Amino acid sequence: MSDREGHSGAGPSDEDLSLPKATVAKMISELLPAEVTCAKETRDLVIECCVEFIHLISSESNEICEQESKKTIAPEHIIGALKRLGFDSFTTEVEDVLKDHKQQQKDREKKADKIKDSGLTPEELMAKQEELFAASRAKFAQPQGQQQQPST
Amino acid sequence: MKTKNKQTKFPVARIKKIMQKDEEVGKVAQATPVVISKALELFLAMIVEEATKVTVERGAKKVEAYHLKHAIETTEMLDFLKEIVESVPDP
Repeated sequence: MSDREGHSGAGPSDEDLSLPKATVAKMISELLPAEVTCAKETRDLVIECCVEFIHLISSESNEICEQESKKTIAPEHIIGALKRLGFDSFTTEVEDVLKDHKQQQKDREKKADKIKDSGLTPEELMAKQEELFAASRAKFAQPQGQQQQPST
Repeated sequence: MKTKNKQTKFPVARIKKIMQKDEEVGKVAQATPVVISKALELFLAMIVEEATKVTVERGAKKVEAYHLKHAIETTEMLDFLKEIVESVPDP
């Protein structure tokens, strides 16, 4: 009945902005020991707590961002906020995720550049390759001085 | 901490929307919600762990709201959540 579970485009209205129940429920059950379950009421409260956490971190990192006279909240500001708010123990894993993300971005850009620089489409590139093969085949098939054209 | 096969992640776009609900928050770098998603995972694990401790301590099989409330009230890092669980009745 609820249209709130994220389909791209049809998101929740501003007032309902929260995290998807199904996702959080799944994550909670992945964390609980085998014999323990979570009451629905508890799950809903946990979701509220998560949203509150986002607000807390956003607010703190926004302050840090302004103190540095920057206009865009960067991951480094988030890490600073975590430390300030006593979530120091999170920073190692968060920094790892940041490193991975930056590396993925670099790899994506490298791939895109290589293909862009040649200025040719994949079809054109393949055609070029065929031409080169044909040319070297021809060179080996014809001995020097003699123009022996094979009949086609 | 038990780690079962954890592949579920928070939706990054939704996190960004929640951030920008705060009028003070302006532009957000692309990597920022990704990083918050990780912090949120760790946070979730933490509150679930604290609440579950209370559940197990009391010999219950279900994590009830007042287990969560008790965990929040006794963990300094979770002070900012006190208002959320204020209205939860004690058993």
